[in-house]
Amino acid sequence: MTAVAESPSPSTSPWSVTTRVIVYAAIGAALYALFNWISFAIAIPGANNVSVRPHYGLLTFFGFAFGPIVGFLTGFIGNVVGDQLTGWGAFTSWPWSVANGLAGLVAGLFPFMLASRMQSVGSKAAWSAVAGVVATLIGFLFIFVELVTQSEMGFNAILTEEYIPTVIANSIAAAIVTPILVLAWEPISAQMGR
Amino acid sequence: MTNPTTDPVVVVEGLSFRYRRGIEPALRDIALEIQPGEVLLVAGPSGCGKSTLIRALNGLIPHSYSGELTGSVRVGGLDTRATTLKGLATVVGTVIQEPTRQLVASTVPAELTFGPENLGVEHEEIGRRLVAVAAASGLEPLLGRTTDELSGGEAQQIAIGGALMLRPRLLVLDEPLANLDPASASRLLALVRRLADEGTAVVLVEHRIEDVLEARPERALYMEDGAIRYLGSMAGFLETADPTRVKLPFDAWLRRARAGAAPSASSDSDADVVANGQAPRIEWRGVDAGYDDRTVLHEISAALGAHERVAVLGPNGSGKTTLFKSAIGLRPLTAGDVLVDGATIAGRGVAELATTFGYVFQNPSQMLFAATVREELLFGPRNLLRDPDGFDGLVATSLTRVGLDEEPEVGERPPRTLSHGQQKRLAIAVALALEPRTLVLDEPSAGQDYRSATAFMREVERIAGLESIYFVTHDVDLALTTADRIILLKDGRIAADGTPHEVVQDRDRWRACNLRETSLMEANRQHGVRGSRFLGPEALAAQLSHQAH
Amino acid sequence: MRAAFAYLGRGSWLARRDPRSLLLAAFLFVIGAPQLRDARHLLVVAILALGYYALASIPWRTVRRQWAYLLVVITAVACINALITGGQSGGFSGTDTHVLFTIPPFGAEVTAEGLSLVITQVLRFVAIAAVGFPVAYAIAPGDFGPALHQLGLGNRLPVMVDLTVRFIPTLSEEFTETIDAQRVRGFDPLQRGGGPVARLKRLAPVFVPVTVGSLTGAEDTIDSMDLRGFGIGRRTWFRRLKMDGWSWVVVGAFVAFLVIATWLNLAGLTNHYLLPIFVPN
Ligand SMILES: Nc1ncnc2c1ncn2[C@@H]1O[C@H](COP(=O)(O)OP(=O)(O)OP(=O)(O)O)[C@@H](O)[C@H]1O
Ligand SMILES: Nc1ncnc2c1ncn2[C@@H]1O[C@H](COP(=O)(O)OP(=O)(O)OP(=O)(O)O)[C@@H](O)[C@H]1O
Ligand SMILES: [Mg+2]
Ligand SMILES: [Mg+2]
Repeated sequence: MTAVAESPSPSTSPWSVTTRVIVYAAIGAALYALFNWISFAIAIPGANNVSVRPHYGLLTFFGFAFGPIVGFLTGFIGNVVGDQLTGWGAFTSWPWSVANGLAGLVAGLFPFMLASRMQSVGSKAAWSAVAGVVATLIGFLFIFVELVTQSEMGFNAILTEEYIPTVIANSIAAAIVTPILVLAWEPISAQMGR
Repeated sequence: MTNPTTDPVVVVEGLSFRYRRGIEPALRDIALEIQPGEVLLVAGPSGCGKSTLIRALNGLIPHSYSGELTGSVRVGGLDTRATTLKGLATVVGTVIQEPTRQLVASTVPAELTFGPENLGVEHEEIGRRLVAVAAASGLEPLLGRTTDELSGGEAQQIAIGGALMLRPRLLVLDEPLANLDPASASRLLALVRRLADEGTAVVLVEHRIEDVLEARPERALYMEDGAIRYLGSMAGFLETADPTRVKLPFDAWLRRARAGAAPSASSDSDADVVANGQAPRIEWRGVDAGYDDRTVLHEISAALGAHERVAVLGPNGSGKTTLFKSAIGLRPLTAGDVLVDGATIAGRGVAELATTFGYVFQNPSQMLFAATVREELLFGPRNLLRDPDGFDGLVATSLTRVGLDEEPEVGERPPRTLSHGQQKRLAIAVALALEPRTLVLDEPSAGQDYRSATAFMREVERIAGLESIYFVTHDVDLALTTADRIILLKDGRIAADGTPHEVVQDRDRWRACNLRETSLMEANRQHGVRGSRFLGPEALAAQLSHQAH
Repeated sequence: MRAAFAYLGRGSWLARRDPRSLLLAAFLFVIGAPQLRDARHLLVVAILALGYYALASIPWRTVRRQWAYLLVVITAVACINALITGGQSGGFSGTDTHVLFTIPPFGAEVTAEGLSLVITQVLRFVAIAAVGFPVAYAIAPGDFGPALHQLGLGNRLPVMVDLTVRFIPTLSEEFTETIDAQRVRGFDPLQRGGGPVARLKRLAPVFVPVTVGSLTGAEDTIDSMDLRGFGIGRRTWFRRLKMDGWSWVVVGAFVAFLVIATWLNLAGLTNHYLLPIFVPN
């Protein structure tokens, strides 16, 4: 007599930290740090950087595709390690690391809220662009912490010099790159599942 | 109570498994016992279930891969279904197929200690094991290194060391020899033998049988379609195995030919004779090239003919890849010049050169990005502003030339959902879409089993409209039986350049280039015709048995 | 092109200290420094911070681009900020600012207060950067995981950071290989022109294979970790970092700094200071 065992399929709670979550987060963070290093052989500690950074779309993708924990770690550790790679040191631009992390985290909440509306790959890709933009708008609110850390900066200055330009540039990157990666990854992940 | 030195380490009964997404079972009714101190060789064609069997032994099935599992697997007395992966980790050590992907720490000592740390082993005990494993496996020279500096062979050694740190009673190795040059492979096999002699049971998956004989496996298990076709002594296996399916020593071919087995329809020596005195396609003139901080190629001078098949062989890191990258403009020259069809490459674009000779990278997945196969094929022609009216025809012919046209609706599939072998074909089709007259292939046989690698090269040879093929490989037999001309590269210099017969003359030089002396090569040297190309095992065996009659 | 960490080896005095002390130093400093607003205080702090920075013996050649960047960009930002606010933020009242001159088109006022704020902001940033550089140049990448673990961050985050460090060189090689493979197909990584959207779309041939390839390769990494017992439960770390006396001195000094900065802040003793040299006679 032989017993047939159906092993359980992987857990889907957004907050569980499995080996898979750790490995995906490490890949996301490594890619983010690497592209950061490549696109600005010297990265800027902090924003002040109005150019569009394509790799920003990576962290919204990692959040959207693999959940809030992966998203947060991709953004936060990615920026921290990126600053290590470029020489600035891990904490020098910590408000920006946290803002990145929060953006990844928020992007990671969307699939759980929108599961019912994302039946096709196409709609998933479209929502991922929306998620990327909203996540950026919310996550980067964190840089207003500079009202405290750089008391010389007024609210208006942070808004017009940092928040708005960064959010515009990063939203463009998120809105374009996130769906491109979702479209590429969906068919493969569907096939790869264990 | 189990006795670890006499009781079998592995007892598998009635094991069948179907992956959650699989249609057919990947394992069918497997029964198997493995004794302590035994090396069991597991062989079989690609997709026959070797890796799946390994996953069933180490517990990834059912703990990590879901599906339908029947039968039982007991390892070291533990039922894999009832024991957690953590519990099994001290009983089974596993080294998976891809060496670089399984290293998880940034330094070698951290990599070795990763397992015991996870199990909460105390500091002093980990230290003792580290010293013991490093001494026993000859890893001391590597202890000061970071993992990203390791060569493929060294990474493989460290992966084994990492598994040994958990003191497993069973060690399973999934194709450990892929991409290793012979010197590294010998070291590894000697280590495997020693571990077995000290009482560890070893399961070694490899389809290049000839290469693993050095580990003197006690038994062999041959699988097809998920089922066991042979399980018994190694000697018996060598007697009965089919040399067209797994790579056996040349004797096996000879025996088969003498026994009168009909030669199969695909003869592997449909050689067309080379026209001599032709104009060269690529000519290096005193070329130095390399990377920012170091020169890799030194004073390279060679001319590859427009109608030649050339194989480039040499140790890991000798500059084989750099040689062709310098010709297509991907690596700047620091001295000398390269001429393509007689004109210097200076000032010519990479893609423009690719219309003369297509370059196929080792790992196809490193470039596949488009949503469909069709878009993937058209990326190059679009970049070169080719006429869109011809695109339908171009896609169709490119797919036909590599035999992908038989796959239904292949043009609309996402490229990465194709199988590994199909992706390799697609990579060639991508190169062919620029309509080159020559094809350069970097390690065409990597990651394929013996039969598919040989068959793949034969298919490439038959692609219509190609004047010449140049390829880089570690597979000595493939090079000798496919190429009219062999170039040996060592430390960035050309060590030899000539017909296969000329190049293998000097045995010392051959070995100095870290190359294996295979039984087929030996047989050709003794009995082969002094033609340009070596005979394949089948043709040579047929010829020899004919002479004997 | 191969991405390598900025770490310089164990040659310098700071590199021989426990990495935790450098991390703590930078951490305490980014909490303490923002509490200081008086340019005179920040001048002293910046000088001390540069002294600490000198202990890392970072060759000028390797950091000059960072310093140049920092000074140019931070100064520019601070100046624009000063123009926008006219020096009226940061505690200076708007009633009687000292207007030095106005810049024509919009009539933006350059004030003595604004210039003082620029100096204050730049001094603070120089100090923070000076304490930050040693974290990058004097901590071995492989020590990050153990250091974070021994700082009490548990097991999983430190392992994840270690894994990140481990992946970077491998991924940078794959990235280079992908660029090469696409160049053969006519892809030009340096192509300019087009709007930002077009430029982003043009990057798909590089981003997609590298990202997707590393994700499919992750299966092997996951297996390799699971098979060596990674997961829940007790875990030990073989690498043990040791705080020597000097490491404690470093930590002690930065704790003292944080205490003093917090005290100055809470006691209202460090307010923005109008630099007299900017005030017209
Ligand atoms: N995760 C999976 N989900 C579904 N099917 C799978 C999965 N992994 C493998 N298979 C299928 O199971 C069969 C056996 O695959 P397996 O990887 O064990 O072959 P193998 O003998 O190791 O081949 P190779 O020599 O190519 O490594 C194949 O048909 C394969 O397509
Ligand atoms: N991107 C790179 N940057 C710096 N050095 C490199 C790079 N790629 C290769 N090298 C070095 O150049 C040398 C030659 O490398 P190459 O890839 O040409 O060797 P190979 O003969 O193709 O080896 P293999 O058999 O392992 O493929 C090696 O020592 C390698 O470490
Ligand atoms: Mg396999
Ligand atoms: Mg190579």
